[in-house]
Amino acid sequence: MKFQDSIEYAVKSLRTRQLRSWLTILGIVIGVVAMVVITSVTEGVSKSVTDMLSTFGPDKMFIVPVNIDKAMSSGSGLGGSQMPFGKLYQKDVDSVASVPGVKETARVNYGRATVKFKGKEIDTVVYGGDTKIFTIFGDFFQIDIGRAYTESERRVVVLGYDAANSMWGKDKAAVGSVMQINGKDYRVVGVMKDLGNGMAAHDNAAIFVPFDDGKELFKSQLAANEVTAIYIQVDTGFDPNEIKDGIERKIASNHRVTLENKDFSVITADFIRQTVGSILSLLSELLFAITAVATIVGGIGISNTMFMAVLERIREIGILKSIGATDRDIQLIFLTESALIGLIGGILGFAAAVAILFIAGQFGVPYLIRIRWVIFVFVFSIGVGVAAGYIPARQASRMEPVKALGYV
Amino acid sequence: MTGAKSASSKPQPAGKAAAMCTQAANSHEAAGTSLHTGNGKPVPPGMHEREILRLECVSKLYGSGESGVAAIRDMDFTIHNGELTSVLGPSGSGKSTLLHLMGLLDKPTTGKVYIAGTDTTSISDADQARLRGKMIGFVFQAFNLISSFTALENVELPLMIYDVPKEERRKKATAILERLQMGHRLNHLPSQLSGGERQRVAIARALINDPEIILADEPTGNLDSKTGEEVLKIIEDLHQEGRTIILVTHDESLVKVTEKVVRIRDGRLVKSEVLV
Ligand SMILES: Nc1ncnc2c1ncn2[C@@H]1O[C@H](COP(=O)(O)OP(=O)(O)OP(=O)(O)O)[C@@H](O)[C@H]1O
Ligand SMILES: [Mg+2]
Repeated sequence: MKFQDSIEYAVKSLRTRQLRSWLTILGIVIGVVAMVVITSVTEGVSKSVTDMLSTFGPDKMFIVPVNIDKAMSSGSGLGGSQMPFGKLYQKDVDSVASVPGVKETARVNYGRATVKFKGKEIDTVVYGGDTKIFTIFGDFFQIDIGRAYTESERRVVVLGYDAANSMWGKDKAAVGSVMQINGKDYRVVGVMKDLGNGMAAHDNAAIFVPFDDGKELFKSQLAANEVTAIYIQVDTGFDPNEIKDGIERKIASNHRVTLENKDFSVITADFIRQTVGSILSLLSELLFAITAVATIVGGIGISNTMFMAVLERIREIGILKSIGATDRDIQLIFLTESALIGLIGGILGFAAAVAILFIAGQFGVPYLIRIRWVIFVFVFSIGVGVAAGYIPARQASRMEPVKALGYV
Repeated sequence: MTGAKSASSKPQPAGKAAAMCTQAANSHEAAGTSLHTGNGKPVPPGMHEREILRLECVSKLYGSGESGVAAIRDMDFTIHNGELTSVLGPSGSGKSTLLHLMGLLDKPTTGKVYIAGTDTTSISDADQARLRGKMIGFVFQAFNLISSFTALENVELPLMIYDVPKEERRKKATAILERLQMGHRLNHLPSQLSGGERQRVAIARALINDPEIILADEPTGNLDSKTGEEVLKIIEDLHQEGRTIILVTHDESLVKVTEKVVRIRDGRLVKSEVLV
């Protein structure tokens, strides 16, 4: 028998096949969906983290009023004698600015506020920051339309892409329009670039006002001269780790704490890379293990259904032998059919996976489909089909024709 | 193999079998010469001279030891080209087993099966399959059609196995189905056909490779008497064309169409007679 005829045979016999072949196909579909979705999302997450890190170079760092090491190891320090949370003040900003190698500092306060535009009211996070945040993190907070506010301006706002374009129903808050924050009028002067669906997506909803406006907005939530975070630009030619040490010593002495008991953290690109990297690799190892187990279990299920399917068709094997088919002809027929089942499962699974990823992407889940995955999926699914079909097909093909014919 | 062992470990029947085998073989040689003369059918002269199928001392044992069954014992006979032979015997006498042995669907425990002069017991399984496909067409009581294939596809199947191009096999299969009055049912699945129609499809499939030998096991067994008559008529027609036909049945009334009867009982040849 020719290979093309065995394909014809397989297609004909799949036309009227029982539930079992479709269950086999379903098994492959589920395996493929699990693998493609999990891997694409893992790759998507690491890509968007890498992208974000690339905008956060080694010449940038920021300070937050919490000891992250302690918070992460003691479950946010609840019930602990030493709470890892502290506060940063204007005095700390001045100290940081005096550390050699620190080129620029920018202060940020943030909190919730009520934002109103064209009759729609939203309770959201508003950032009150020095205009220098747009230069220090210029790669990230890129102004697309309009401009950043200046040092001396008040009652102006720079909007993230979504904050301008999709938060207000069909209305858009374009440059020049006016919105109310906690009842006061603010004029839109700039709209930022769309940050896409990656890790940074939530910053598309960011709303920035000048530092002094923020101070006023969050007066009730902040201590006198408190600053929620400090952004730092480092001069070239300095070792970021030395600068970090210098900053830590200064603030620790301001806060009268030892470095072990510090109530703040200086976050550098290295720190993020290490922390995020270790979380991501743990995550992808876990997901890989789950997928591997699922695939093995699925593979056993597929072999089993394939085996049953071949058993059910032993009489057909007997008929084929009675009309002159050799063992090889029969193996070719069954292997082609198994491969076809695998291929159908692979195609359906891949299509389903792409659909799932696309829908998940609409909700901001980052994903990355690689071409080599398409190849892998088809090799995998055809391989599973053939592997699962091979042993039963070979055994069945070797039966005495009369035994196969008598099989019911 | 286990059968052969068990035969030697059971000295009584095995010894008897060996003794009877040569006897039967000798007596058959005598009977054989007289068999292929004096039938009234219009078969081309000289055709009967050619031996097409021969069983030489064939035994088939199932199982071993106390529970072992000898389905066929020391069977020795020759079929000549163009003969229509019926194999008659009660249920369980070994008719189907004999047919399977003649059609290379089963291997004899001892003895040899010759087809067109080839000792089939000495060739590979693949060669047996080829020989079976080219020389022999089967018609079974249970039709044995492939249920997911249409009538036409079932008939085309043997040609597909032998790499006949699609156009040609479609043409041939259609022609043969039309000849068997099945032209109006080409694209029906077996489940959409009546028993008689299924058997016609099965006969068409048996004929598609133009085999010299047709082996039919109770071909009318699942059919009512009228449909059975029609199928029998087809078999007679095939015989008229000069094909060698072996018809296994336990139905005495079918003997009338045949020219030679082989009667078996308990796996032994009881009587081989020529009908005039
Ligand atoms: N696979 C097998 N294993 C054991 N015994 C078998 C096997 N096949 C057939 N037999 C036995 O061999 C004997 C002959 O069986 P066979 O099917 O040839 O009979 P038959 O003449 O065709 O009967 P029927 O007219 O009922 O079809 C029976 O006793 C049967 O039980
Ligand atoms: Mg029988």
